Amino acid sequence: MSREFQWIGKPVLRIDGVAKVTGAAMYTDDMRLPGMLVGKILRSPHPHARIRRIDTSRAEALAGVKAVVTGQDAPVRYGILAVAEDEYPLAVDKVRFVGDEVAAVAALDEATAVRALSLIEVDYEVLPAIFDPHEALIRDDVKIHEETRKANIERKVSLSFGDVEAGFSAADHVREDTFFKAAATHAPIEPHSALAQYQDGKFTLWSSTQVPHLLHRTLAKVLQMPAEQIRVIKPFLGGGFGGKGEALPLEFAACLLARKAGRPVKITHTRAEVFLTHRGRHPMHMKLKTGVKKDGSITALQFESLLDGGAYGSYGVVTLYYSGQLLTGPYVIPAFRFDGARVYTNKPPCGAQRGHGGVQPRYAFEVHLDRIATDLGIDPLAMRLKNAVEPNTRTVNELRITSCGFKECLERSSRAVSWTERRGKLPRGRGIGIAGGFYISGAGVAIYFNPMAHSSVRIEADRSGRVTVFCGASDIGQGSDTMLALVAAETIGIPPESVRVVSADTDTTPVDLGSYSSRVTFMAGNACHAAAKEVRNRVLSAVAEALDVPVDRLEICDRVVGVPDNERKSFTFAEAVALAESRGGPVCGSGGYTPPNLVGSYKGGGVGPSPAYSFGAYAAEVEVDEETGSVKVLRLAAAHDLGRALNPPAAEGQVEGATVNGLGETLLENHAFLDTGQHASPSLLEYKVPTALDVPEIEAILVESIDPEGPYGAKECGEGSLHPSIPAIVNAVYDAVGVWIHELPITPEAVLKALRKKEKP
Amino acid sequence: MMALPAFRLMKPVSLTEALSTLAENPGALPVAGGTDLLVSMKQGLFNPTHLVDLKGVPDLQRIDISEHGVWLGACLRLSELRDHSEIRRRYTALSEAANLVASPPLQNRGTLGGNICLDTRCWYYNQSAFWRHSLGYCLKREGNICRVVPGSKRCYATFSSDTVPALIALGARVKLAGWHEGALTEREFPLEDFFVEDGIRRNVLRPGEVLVGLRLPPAQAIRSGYRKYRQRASIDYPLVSIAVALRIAEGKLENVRVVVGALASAPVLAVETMAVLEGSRPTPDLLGRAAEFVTKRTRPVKNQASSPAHRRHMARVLCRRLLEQIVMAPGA
Repeated sequence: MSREFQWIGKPVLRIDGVAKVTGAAMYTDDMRLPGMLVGKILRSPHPHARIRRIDTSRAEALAGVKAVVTGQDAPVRYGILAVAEDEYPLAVDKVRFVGDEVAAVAALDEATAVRALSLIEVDYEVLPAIFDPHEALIRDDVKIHEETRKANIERKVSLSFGDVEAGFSAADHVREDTFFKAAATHAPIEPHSALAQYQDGKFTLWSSTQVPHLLHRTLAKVLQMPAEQIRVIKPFLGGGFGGKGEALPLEFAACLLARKAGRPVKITHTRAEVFLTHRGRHPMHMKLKTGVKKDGSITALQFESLLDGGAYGSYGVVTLYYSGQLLTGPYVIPAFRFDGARVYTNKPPCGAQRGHGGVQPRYAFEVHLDRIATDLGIDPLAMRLKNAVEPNTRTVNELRITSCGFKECLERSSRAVSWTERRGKLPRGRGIGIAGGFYISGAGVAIYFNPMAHSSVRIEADRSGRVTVFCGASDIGQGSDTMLALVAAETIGIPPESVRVVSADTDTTPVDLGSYSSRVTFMAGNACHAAAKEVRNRVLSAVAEALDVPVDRLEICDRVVGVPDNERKSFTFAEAVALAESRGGPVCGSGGYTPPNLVGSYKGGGVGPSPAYSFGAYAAEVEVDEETGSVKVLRLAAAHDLGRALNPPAAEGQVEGATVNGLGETLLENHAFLDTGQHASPSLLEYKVPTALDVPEIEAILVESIDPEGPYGAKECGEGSLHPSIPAIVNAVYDAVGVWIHELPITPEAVLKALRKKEKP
Repeated sequence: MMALPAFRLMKPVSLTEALSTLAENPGALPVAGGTDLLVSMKQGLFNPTHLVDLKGVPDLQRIDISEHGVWLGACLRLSELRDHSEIRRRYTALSEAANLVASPPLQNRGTLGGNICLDTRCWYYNQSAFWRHSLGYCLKREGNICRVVPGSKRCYATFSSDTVPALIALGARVKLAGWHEGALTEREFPLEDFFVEDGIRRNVLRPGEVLVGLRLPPAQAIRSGYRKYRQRASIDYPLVSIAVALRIAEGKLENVRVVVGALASAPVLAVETMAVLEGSRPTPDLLGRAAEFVTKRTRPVKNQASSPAHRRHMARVLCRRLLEQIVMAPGA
């Protein structure tokens, strides 16, 4: 059936918008339960130490303290990845960074809880600490985790595709560069918060989590309880960006305390604790070598990455694989070799952050590519167009590319800044730059091995005309609940405002793996589409019977079900549902989405494949003050191929937000540590997230390649849109003042230093 | 969020009541906007038994502008200074400085007196109790060593007020009030004498004494301006700041005052720069030469983002640019 879309592609109001702007929305920390206690976590003051003894007796004796827990209360190792289960809820034998969780208390009020922390006596044997990843690679005398075979290397990876040697031999020009991208962190406005209740032998945990299902599984493992006795609910959530994408110590601590105290316990992080919890962008040292023909076509690429992982594994092994695996596009790379390592250091653990794994290498490669273009005297835009991947191809590492609007992204972003007329021709101090990128629409392989759907949706319609979507997907502010309402509404044929969404509650909603790897629109959207089709079919079939017309003559439009242009042969949607209900039982539909098996034919071939890839190309315009070194971004034209914009303003918001993230990482943000291990800037005052005044005009250009497998042709939008923003700015700085910046963030001092170096003969 | 420690809030309605309350409670501190103090209290840097809220004291809210000059009550909000058309026209540097403090919401809350009495700042000091415990304490609070200048006997925490350099450049005098044996005491002197080059003591305010306001001399065609260097375009404290005030008579510069902020523990009068400019005919070359001396009496240390060398460099650049702008501007 072909028809115009009723709502898709048009602006739809967020279904939670009014609650959020009026303050009615309940976030985890807004919740209060009768008898609720305040929980606080004791953290290690040392970057690396063995715990000899913990004495909690004085804390327990303090009036108002209802429970104290330590690592001994749950000495169960866990980790978001099965290959890296190296964490305990609270430290058992060792602490590995300043801020590592040691014990937790629950008390009647916050002041008492804070006092109780100071009464816990921990006897530490301080150990030498490692903060530099290069040192971590070779030092065998200091072991952050005993299990590492060589030095402090968590994982090494070597992958090779195509004939790399032949590629370099065939090249007319080979260039090598090294780059460093500093750590960044998510800095969500809502601090992590967890409220646990233990009643009748069952747990309920309300938590600010991006992954209710994965948290649910991990809680069962760590608390040693059947999963059926645990319920995880995600209330409204104020920003995740990857930082709430795995089970975290505060969630376990709240549960352990609630069980011990027999009363509900809430733990909300302070801002400083949010910084210490981290799990953000890995600092990455990168080396690239690329061979090209005179005409600019790439013959081979060799890439090395060293990831400074911090104290625990988190998502790090995936980050490591992504760092190489996502370099084989959006340009045709005929031969590719990748060697990488992730090491442990005594700093807060790094993990997944918006654009996970691809952000640092994308910066490095796109600047490297501009340098090659400059070496060859080729326009950087032409260089990109020449090597751009085409739809329906495979990359050298077997990634299946289906829909691809990369060339259109390049064309439209460059046109927006009048590239041909202005590149290289602006007055000194002013410059434009361009960069590309691509990203997965969800990982093709689940985080834990299982044959089940990655996302499931159940939809119920009732005789009031109300349609309710049940889905485990976690709306973290990106608007996935609204996406579900929209897909259900469009598919059934009713307005989005008559759809209610119940999401992210493990007791009532079917499993969705969570909000990470930019998977929700694609996967939950597809599952929702399938479920909605079933509801639609049930309603139509009942109406067809009542009207005695074939189903294919019926339409659902504007809450009316019937034969188009025939008022006598129609029902209101509510009447139609009632007819369907009269056939016996509720009007339900269910759907699941499982990605096709796209795993590569090699070890590690599970990281990188996705059912669809987004593409992007951004053009930046900057002004550089050569006397002060300051870089001001004047404009960003951000073209992103998202398949189809289901709800254009929401998509534009994602592109704009990601672009601002990228700008912050380019110019300001540095998640750094003192050489004694303390966080250098654990506050929103000193960790420099851009303010509204630092953000330029952003033109979000939505490119629609209509993906054959995405829901209504949609692909990811929220993460890949970060990738090109960083190198576009760096490349624009070169156009402005003729220096290349190989370390981020770009400080004014670094610009001045580069300018001075250039002046010297 | 970090918890605010318990204290008793006192709400006096007159200056004498405020001063006597402070005198009776040695553990008390005055508070106005609270934008600096309350954050520090959460970090355990101050533990007052009482806070004496000065916002209910009418005398402290006054602003008078006449041909004899200006009186600015200590509890004027920074946004009032920022938006006052006469201040903006006649005492431009002050309006510009108020506009560059933190962000508009904080300007609506923070007061002039609070900005003048702002605590000095340092990476190793403005941190949570946990952080300072982890690293070890410092001279300024609970410790006996300086984390920035090892071996130092004094504290190098940075003077970070935006309005003060502007006020000193404009020739402000500060008025303090205290309570001694049941009676009000007052003293008034040039604002530059209020500060001491010591990150801990920072000013000459005595316990229980309150800054009640400032007096500015008549503007009389004074030209002035304020520039601030920070990493972001809002929120941040200054990494360096420059205030300039001067007059131009018969083509010559007169009454030149140049003040540097955030490069020492107190504001610094750039007397060498002032000497080069005073009585001279401004040329681009002269302004550039004068600006070269602006950091002569400063002593930045590595206790903020950005290196001391770069902050000095920025002081020279900002000083020259500000001088050029003020001199080029059409007559005041």
